[in-house]
Amino acid sequence: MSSSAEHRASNVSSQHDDGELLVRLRSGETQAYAELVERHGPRLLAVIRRIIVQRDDAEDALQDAFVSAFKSLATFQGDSQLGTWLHRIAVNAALMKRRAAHRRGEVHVDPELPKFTEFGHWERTPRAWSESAAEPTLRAELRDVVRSAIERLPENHRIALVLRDIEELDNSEVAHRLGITVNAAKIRVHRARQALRELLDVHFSPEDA
Amino acid sequence: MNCSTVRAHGFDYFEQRLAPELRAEVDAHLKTCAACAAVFALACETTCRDFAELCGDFDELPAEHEQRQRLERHLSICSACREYLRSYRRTIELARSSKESAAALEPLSAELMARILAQGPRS
Repeated sequence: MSSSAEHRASNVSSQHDDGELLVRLRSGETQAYAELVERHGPRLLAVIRRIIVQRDDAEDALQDAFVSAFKSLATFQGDSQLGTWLHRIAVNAALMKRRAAHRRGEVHVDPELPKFTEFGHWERTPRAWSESAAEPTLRAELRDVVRSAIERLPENHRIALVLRDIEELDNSEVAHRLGITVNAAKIRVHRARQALRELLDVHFSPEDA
Repeated sequence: MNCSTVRAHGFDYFEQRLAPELRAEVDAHLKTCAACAAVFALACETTCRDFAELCGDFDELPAEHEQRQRLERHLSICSACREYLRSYRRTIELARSSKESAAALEPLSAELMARILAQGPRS
């Protein structure tokens, strides 16, 4: 079986299992709650930790997410998949937690943005990125590099990038979740990508001759 | 100097990096070649700073959109911005593929499981 076929098959079977789980949850079976947390918890924690880097805070947000999921299980329509529904709740819980914890001003991303001369030309000409890092043996290492670069982004920008490029929400959805205008969301995502590109540049550009 | 050589020098021309004699040759060509003169004139409308500012929209704009065409004209003569756009797109791909695989997910600690379930369904 090809890996995409396996992926589809495992999706189908997890949807089926979720359907059965939902019936048991609604009938109030305690063991079903443990299964729900065990099955979806690790993935939801990973989603939350992209928004809240601090493990303790992320775990608190996961707890909040499950509390609100438990409360609204009765009203869950079942017209989306259980996993998708929980994912949305987890992202919201993470954003709420972050809002409560950080009431400070905007963090500046400027030091990581590209610089230009007064005539609008590049101060340092962008160099071609090597493709060697795409080799399979380097992929795992590369993923760590990318993840730690994302963690280094200022929080507001990191979250915008996570929502847009990792959680793959569209611009208006990002704007809605962050409580900002669509234009502001687009700019924030763009700045975050630019800053991430600068942080990754050192790993992809050939050494200076 | 022929058209392709002139256009290959475009980036250094705008960066003011061409040796004076080469610059003079490009200028001489631009005086006699309307097609190259038009490309160079249009290229001036967008600086590298403008390009870097707007390139996030590049892939989302339809080919006939005026802003996209302006960015494309700049790309046609600016190898630095071509590299920038390539690495900008790669950055998005890398971010997207940085998600951990299902196999790499850590199970929740027993303490966290207990904490969550303590908040669970109450009859």
